[in-house]
Amino acid sequence: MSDIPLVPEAIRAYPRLSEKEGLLSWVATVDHKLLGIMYCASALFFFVVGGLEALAMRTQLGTARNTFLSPEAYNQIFTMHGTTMVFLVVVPLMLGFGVYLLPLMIGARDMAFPRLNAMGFWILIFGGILLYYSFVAGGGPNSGWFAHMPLPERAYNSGPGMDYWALGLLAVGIGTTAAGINFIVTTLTMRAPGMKLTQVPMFVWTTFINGFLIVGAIPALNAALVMLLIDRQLNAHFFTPQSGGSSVLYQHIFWTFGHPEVYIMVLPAFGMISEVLPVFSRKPLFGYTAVAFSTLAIAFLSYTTYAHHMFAVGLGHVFELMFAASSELIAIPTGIKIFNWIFTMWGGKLRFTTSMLYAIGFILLFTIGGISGVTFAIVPTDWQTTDSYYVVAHMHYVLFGGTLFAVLSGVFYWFPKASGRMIPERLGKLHFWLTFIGFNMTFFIQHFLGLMGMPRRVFTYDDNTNWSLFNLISTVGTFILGLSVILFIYIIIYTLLKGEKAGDNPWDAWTLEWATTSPPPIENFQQLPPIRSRRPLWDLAHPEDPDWARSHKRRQPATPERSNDRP
Amino acid sequence: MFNPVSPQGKVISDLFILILVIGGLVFALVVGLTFYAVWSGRRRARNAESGEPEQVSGNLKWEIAWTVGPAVLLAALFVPTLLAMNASDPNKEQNGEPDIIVVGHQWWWEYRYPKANVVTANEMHMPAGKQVLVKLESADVQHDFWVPQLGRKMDMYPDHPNYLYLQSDVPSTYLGGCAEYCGVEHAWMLLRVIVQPQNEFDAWLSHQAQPPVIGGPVAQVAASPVAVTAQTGVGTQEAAAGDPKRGAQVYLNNTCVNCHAISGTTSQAKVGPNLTYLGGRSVLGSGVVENNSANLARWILNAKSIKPGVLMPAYQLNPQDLRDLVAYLEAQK
Amino acid sequence: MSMQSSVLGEQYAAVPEKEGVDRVRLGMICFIASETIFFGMLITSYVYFRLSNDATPNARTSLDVGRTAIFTAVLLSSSLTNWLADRSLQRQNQRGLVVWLSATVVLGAIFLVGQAWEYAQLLGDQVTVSRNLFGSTFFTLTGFHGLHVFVGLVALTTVAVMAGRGWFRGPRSGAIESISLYWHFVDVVWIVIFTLIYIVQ
Repeated sequence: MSDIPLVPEAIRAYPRLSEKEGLLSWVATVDHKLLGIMYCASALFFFVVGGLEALAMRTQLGTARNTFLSPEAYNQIFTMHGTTMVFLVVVPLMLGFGVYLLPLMIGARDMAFPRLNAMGFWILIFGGILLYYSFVAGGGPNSGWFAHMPLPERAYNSGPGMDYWALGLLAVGIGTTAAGINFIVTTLTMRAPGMKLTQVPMFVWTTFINGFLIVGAIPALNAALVMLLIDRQLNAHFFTPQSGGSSVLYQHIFWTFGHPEVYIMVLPAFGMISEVLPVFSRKPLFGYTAVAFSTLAIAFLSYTTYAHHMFAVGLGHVFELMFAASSELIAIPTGIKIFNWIFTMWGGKLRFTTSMLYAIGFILLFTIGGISGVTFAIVPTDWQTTDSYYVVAHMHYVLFGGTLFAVLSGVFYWFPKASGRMIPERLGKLHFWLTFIGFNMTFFIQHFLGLMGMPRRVFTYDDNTNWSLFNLISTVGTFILGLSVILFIYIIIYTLLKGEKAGDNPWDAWTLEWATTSPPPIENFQQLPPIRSRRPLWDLAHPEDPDWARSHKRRQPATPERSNDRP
Repeated sequence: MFNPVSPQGKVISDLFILILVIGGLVFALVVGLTFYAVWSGRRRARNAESGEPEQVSGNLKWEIAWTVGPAVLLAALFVPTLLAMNASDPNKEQNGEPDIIVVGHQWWWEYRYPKANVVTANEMHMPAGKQVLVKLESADVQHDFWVPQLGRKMDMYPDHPNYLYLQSDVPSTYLGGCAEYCGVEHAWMLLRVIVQPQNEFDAWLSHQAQPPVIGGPVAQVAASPVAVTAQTGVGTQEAAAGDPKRGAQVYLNNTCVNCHAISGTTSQAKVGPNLTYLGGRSVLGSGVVENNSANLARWILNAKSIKPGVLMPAYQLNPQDLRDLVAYLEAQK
Repeated sequence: MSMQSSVLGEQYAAVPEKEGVDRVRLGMICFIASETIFFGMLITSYVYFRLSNDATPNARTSLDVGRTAIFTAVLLSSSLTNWLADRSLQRQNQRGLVVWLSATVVLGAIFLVGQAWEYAQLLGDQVTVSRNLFGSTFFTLTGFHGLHVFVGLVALTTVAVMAGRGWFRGPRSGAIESISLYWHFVDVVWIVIFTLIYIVQ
């Protein structure tokens, strides 16, 4: 590597503390790597909190008419479970991976706005603290994570919980927006010399588009929260129907944010899968352009589909049909991705690392989530399944089976880069199977509960046929998931203390983050390889068959069948 | 799926099964392709000599295929969607007088039969085999009317009335519940729809329209004495009978009348459930416990011990008053 | 370490100034995009309730259109002075920069005084946030706009003071160019608000 020419890298002399100053160097840092790690670590912390809430809920629901939790406690816990997992776990994970990887993948020294980056993170954490401070201040938020009006209004909700909820989410929203702006500007202006926008790794593409989603969606939530706060604190009338306000207007505003939010939580996960699968299949991503443009299509369509969350509102068939059509459309770019991923593996030489197992698990589970999602785009079936446990199962397949599996795939893939140490594969695989079994046991059965008529968000249920049994199975699955989380924390600690040294490029991967040391130095790169294709490190290792030459010559395009030689 | 008993429910159920089959086929395809790719990729990694596999980075034909394929499939699904929407939720005469007005309250249901001037709570009666136009409202927060076997669910808003056609061809009792989170006791806001043959329903409705007559059936109440046990905190007296006539006075002299209504009396408040003919209902507290004298006594003394978030306050009544009050309420069948 | 930092210093100096400025401007454009959505939602709420609800007091009965039109003209002229400040920067006219930035601050402050005057009168007439939906929507929308004007004034004052101390030699500056963008955005929002609330009653 030493004979690679030094490519001058634009580096600004940011104020920073040396690594020797301990804890303060983390608090005061503007380095994207430390901030990325802090995003992920705080997300893990909140994941444990949200997970404990899930355990409490599932314990309560394990048997009919259980009294483990009071209804008030249950309602606060399910509200905070949803709020935590969405705003303090999944979104920060997407931001954390983006903040950590984006500069490394495009060969930059840092994000475009390092101080803004730090500010966004700390505001987000402050929002998280505000949300949980409500429990100390006299009662947690208790209106569900989407807080349909007028239940959160003061007339029905006199405790302070919803004030903290609105304030906390405002802070989280501002922090998230800061990161979104940073993603856009960094991708557009910080790419290494020679790297075209069509050559950035797919994770950069998805994070870049995620930036647009964040900038376009989060302010809508902020507007709704501001109006709720003014209602509650200054007795305004936005969402109080008794004095002329509208309960449905809130839903329009909230879901204008809410549906793009779903893709904020999932697009970067698509990006991670698109990085992991090629490396462990030893092939480039199948159909880079299609994957990139389907991401763009999803982002665009996500703004036009929000009302499928509102089919039960009674907005009229014409309105509903329009949104049904756009919601069905979004299944097409999603399907494109699934097939592109499968055909990335097709004809490759697969290495079944833990990261790869999670990526394959992601494809299967996300497909289930995608297919059950069609039920909600088709209006009449939505009328039956919405607000039931069917939708609970669906969204966990998308967010847990989808996003979190992708994140775990990403964790096992990039952990050696960030820490310099390899995660033991045996422990990793044990973790995968534990998570996979626990997850499916918990959530698959909830589809049936929904179809049997169990509404979501009930703190208990009458002893109807099979409800107890199905709920009990789901509860047992949750405890298996709990075990897997404990194992995960053990794995992380064990690896940090005793893991083998990783080296620069343990997976023999091709993107720029692997062209530096593990962990990378504070300025990321001493030197960069020449960037002439999407896989600069492949070109470096295979001077006889570089990507840039191939894309020009376009050798005979082997069909997927032909490329797979039968014995 | 959903065990539908109405044409509306059947349409949705059929559509769901169609989606399930198509989705199942798509899933099988994805699983099949994935497993083949995994299996062959593993074999290739084990058998083949060293070196990288062929670097295929795309195939336009295939990519067009899996763009157009799902698009055609979804476009095809749009037709049954459209048909099912109209069949399962027919156009309503928006200004026509509804047969039943359902009002959601935190956490109980009010049913009004405007044509017969009847108001009742928590148990909805309707005739079998007939399409009934229901108007859905809310007195406070958002609720949702959902009886899975009868068809679609529909939200209920204080500022946005909704209409729904309900129908069941099989007389029976159908259970459902509020499907939109509405506060503390959302779980115990269960629906109970009693579908009766037309003549039974007519008899029920005309009975409900008459104010209850108290006095005659004392003996009847005595025959089914109020079992006030230690559990209710009233005392350990054995099966003492209550006097419904005196109970009526207990009812009217207490703050019951500030929230409840019983037709034919001066008690006409609309905050809590209408108690006319309470004795004829099978559950209390919108489905939380069976309606019997012991539970009713417990409910009056401390409703929150049965349904923790309920808005009804606890009452301090002496044992005799309680027995009489319970007898009065239960006597109205 | 010391040698390394000297290397970094050289590279820093080598960053073309234009690139840094464009980066900051791009960041501001993204921020303005998000603000557009935020104000869009507040404006949507105002229009929605205006159409569905005609109770008094409302915009027709309680607003003084003529007076607000004058203050609107003041705010719009501050966009002009801001543009002149930009031009001074490009021409490396430091004195002009300070003068026009200060003029912008003064005009913006006059607008805020006008808004405070209007608020005082409305509150005196018992038109409050809690009075009815007009009050809720009006104060929320114009209040958030006023807050943005205030934030803009703080930023403009800061750069005006810095300009006075010779921080901005021109011809370009990320700080001044992005604050100008923001200020023009705030004015455009006001044009929309003025049209919807005051003119189309």
